[in-house]
Amino acid sequence: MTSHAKRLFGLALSLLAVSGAWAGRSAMAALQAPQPAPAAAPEPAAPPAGQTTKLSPDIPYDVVLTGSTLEAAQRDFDQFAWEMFVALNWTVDASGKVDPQKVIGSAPSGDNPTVWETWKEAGGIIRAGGKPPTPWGAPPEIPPVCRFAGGPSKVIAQAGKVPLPLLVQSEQAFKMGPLIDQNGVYARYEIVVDQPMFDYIVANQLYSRAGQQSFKGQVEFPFSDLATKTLGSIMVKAAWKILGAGDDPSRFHVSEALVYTPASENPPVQESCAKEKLGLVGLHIVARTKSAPQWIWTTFEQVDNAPDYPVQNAASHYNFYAPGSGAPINTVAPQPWDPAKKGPPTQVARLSALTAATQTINSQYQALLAAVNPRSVWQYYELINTQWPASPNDPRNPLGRPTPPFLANTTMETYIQGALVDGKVELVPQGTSSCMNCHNNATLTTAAPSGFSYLLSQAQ
Amino acid sequence: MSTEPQYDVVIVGAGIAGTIVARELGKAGKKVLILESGSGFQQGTSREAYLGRYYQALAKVPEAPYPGNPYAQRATTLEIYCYEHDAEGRFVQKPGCESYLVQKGPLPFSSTYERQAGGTMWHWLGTSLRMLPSDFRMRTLYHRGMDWPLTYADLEPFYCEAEYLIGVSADVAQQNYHGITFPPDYFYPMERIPPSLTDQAVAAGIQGLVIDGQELSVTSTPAGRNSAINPKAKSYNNGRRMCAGNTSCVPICPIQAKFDPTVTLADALQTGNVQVLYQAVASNVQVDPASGRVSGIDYITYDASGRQGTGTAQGKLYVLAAHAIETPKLLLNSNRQIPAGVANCSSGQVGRNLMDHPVMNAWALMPQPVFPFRGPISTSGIETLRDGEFRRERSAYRIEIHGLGWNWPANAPYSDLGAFVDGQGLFGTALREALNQSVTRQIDINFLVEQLPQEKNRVTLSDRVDGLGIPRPEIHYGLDEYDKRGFRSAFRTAAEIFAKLGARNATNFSGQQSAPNYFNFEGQDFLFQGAGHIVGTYRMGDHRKNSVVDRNQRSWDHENLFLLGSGVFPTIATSNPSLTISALSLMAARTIKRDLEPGTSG
Amino acid sequence: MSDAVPDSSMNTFVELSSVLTGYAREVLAPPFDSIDLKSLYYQTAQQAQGAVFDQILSTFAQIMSATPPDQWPQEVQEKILSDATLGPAARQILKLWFVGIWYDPPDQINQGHIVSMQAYIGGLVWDTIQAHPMGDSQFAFGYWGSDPPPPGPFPRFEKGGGA
Repeated sequence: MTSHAKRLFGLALSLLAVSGAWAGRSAMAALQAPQPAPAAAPEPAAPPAGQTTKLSPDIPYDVVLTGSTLEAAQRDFDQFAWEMFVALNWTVDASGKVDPQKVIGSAPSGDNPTVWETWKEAGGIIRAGGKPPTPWGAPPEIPPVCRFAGGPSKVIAQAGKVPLPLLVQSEQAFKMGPLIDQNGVYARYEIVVDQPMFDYIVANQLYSRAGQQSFKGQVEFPFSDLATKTLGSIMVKAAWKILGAGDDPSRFHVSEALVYTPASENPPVQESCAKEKLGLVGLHIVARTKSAPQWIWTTFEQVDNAPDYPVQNAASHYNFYAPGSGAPINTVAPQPWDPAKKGPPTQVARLSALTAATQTINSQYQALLAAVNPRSVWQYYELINTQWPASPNDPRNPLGRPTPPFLANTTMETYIQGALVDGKVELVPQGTSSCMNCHNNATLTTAAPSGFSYLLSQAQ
Repeated sequence: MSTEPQYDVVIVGAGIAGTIVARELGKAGKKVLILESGSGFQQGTSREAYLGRYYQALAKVPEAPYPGNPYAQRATTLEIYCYEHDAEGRFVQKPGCESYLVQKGPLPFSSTYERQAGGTMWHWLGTSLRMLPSDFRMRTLYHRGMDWPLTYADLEPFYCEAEYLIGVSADVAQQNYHGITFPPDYFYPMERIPPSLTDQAVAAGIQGLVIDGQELSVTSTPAGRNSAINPKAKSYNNGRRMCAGNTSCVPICPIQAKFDPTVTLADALQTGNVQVLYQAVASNVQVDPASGRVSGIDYITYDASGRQGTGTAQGKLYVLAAHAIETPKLLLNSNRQIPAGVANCSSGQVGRNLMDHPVMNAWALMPQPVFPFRGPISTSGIETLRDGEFRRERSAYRIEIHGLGWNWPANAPYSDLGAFVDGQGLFGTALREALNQSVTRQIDINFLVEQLPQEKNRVTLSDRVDGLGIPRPEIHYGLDEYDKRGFRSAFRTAAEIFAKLGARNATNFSGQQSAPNYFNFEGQDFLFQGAGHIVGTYRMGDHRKNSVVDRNQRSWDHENLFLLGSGVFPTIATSNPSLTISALSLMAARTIKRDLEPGTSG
Repeated sequence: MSDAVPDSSMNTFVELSSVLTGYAREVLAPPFDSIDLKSLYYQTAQQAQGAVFDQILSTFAQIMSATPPDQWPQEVQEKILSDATLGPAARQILKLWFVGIWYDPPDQINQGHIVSMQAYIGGLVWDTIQAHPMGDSQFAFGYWGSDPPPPGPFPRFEKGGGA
């Protein structure tokens, strides 16, 4: 679709944003605003002046600051985060194209196939032996064990023309261990990138060690530019849980996927594959923009993941917390870790609660999503926070002063949310999860910086 | 007590030696129990907490990140200041000041260790030097110390294996000095760590400088830190981050770009054949009187409130890998059946020959900025004087080019700040300029002096006990004339290096007579520091009368008992011990696996 | 935290800190300051020094209103740093900015405490020596083989300074 059409459509959708009673300017006002509750006849609060809260399939190009305070800037980035979330989870049709007529969550089920799920999966970029990536749009390579006996593999591996995700990864970054749900099943992780990023990797042959060794210069992924209305690099990391007993599928974005457990020598695990229904529990959306060469880091979670620490008034059910179990929180399961077997559920608590401002914008968007369709699964997601560079162009500060300094998703950085010292949470530089700090260390296999993407360090 | 032991092997200590053996045996399907005296560990959360302690510690000493505990106490860096030299030069303890190591002098043993999962290599620098072929033959070549019961050639394949297990960054072409050899076509898994600006300045500046007949040169130091993957390595990827030069290898790498034994421990646990009992302090080694074989290891468990219970771990084979102070302490404390202690009957050498690399700091102000406090703490060294005919007369040493300015010898940049602000009253722009002018030109080079083994330098049992009632280590330690001649040479070499560099030598140990680590040699004052290299208290040898273990690191007295770690080193050489510990542990794992083969009595 | 401190007092504190440290105020109080060391330091000093702190601020507020910025360093030297009571207290604040340590007693560097992890990380001394705190670098692999970037901006009123 043309950008013109996108804009028109976005305008139409903004009608969905029902005007509220107040139009406060400051974040303080936002803090005091009553929380609009998602209801049958939602009436969400309007955003501060100068911003429109709308549901649009347009991927935002960049953040435009509307004020000079930290609170105002954070609100702008959180707005950007939600626009990203909505646009990337917009309905795609059977051919994988955005369908502007089908508003996010408007299908009778309340769910829909999404834009980012049509993007290029990590396994199709970094391939054994340094082989070139499979073409954009090609289905994932299906291991033989996933081509179930007697069945035509193409049919099983794809739903329509949208390829089924192939979920492999079952451990968090740097061997910190798995996240295990209340049914004893390991969460799975997936990384995809958009086409500008993919094209850049292919054009510069960064997918192989040989290509990286001959690459000269600095990895500079293309960035989105508001002035020229060009879209740049976006990467997405998703965390999924296999839906099972106790899970309410109507509260998740659900995907059918091939869950593949590769063979392992240590511990000895035979490869296996199963087709499963998965619920989306965590979603990082990371975009490189002209104003943020260190990228803008947003992260979302399904609302039932885990309670805040210290846990008080726990709900009766969480994806990753058992009320009353007494198990120590955020403690990794004992080794050996074997995703082919059931393990002890991880008792997760969120160590940094969402800010009041983030809760406000979450309520606004959740209400908008519910207004489209009371059954919309998307109303059950919440923004955790958005991390952005406050000094993006200071040579003394190549990291750009990450703001806020820390950010963790309980499903992806479960074990580095903060140190508990005598029951108090301490947020530790370099130790506690900070997207930008950590990804600033990402390199090619040649040790040259890889533009904040760890994907390329895996090249063969 | 069951007749069939539950485990094939019981290991004491989850440090580098113990976890390597556990990993190798676990992968071979053998059942292993590790008794670890300290606390356990979780890759993310624990590192966070340790980093938090480190950032908030005023004294950023090696143990700063690690909490320690009263039931598995450890030596700490500053506790040597519980001692001093009195007006008569006697080594005395200050009233009311307690140290874990009960130091008897005449000098303090100044190196420390950790008792927790991962052990002391949590705070190793990463230096992964091999020993020189001549280091194994000190007695034959130089009539000093003792020959090792094995040769460089024996150890070479295990060095290679250890360099891949740890993940060492270095270039073979730079490491083949003093007779070090490599297999044909061998390469390290990762390329050398780039030299720092200080390294570059020293390398360029000392060209042509000859000491004791050898022309000095600067060599990139092999390091267990991640660097560019060697293009020749087909598939190497250890999954950890690339070194980002956070400049805190000691005491903790924030991003685990530096190897530590939690890597091998995780590998071992991942086999499903290895179990660890944390907070389980081995207190006694049981011996079957009939066979002389070890029959169990008694241990005490504790939690935050203190002693909890006791147990006995039983296996077919036993490995003690609890460092060169705690291992002899355990052996000597196992004296209910054998008064001399376990593994000590034949030689009486358990606890003796305690060694370190006593370190002489030498510091100077360079004529130009060299920008310390950037990059790994050390990236190059001068290896030239690690060997030579002079070893007949005095200690050899390696010179580590340090990257922290005068931080170690003089507490830079804090001391500079104090001098300029409180001393000279500077502030504002003038203060910034003064700090920049001085600190960016600071250089520190450290001489790691080879100390000879002496029987009188030893670990014994103190009559004072720890939080569990176990006797604490009593340390008798000093330097002999040979070692001190090494210091004298180091002092002169430092002066020559700094003169050649055009640097203003600031090395000065005068006025420190009362310091515990002070000594005077032929009119010259010295201070020395510990290198953290605790070596030699259950040495290996070719005869049961002069050594505790044989070349397989098997106790001469108890055939199913292996003693691992740097305690087995007959001499300390000039290389940092971790790589050699790792190579020897891989070698021992092979022997132990063979012992466990059906039909082998062990 | 900054909410607790009146804007004018904070402004005085930051300007004084700029004179003491030789750093431009945007280094000490950057835009979008989520770490907010200035407030931590203000409160640390105020709690520990009490009336002396108030006196330092009021003295400097007078200097600010009475003299042009390029004379502030000279004035601070004469009216604050040379004063037997205010001098050590001001140097205590100065050192806090440089290394994140509250030294007590003020005129030495052996006893004190690191007021927070971010204070340690944010110590100005590391920028001054064109390095980074031990344990926290933002630079990429191999940076140590090349010259560092220049240190941060000097105050506007300083010769050669300004941003």
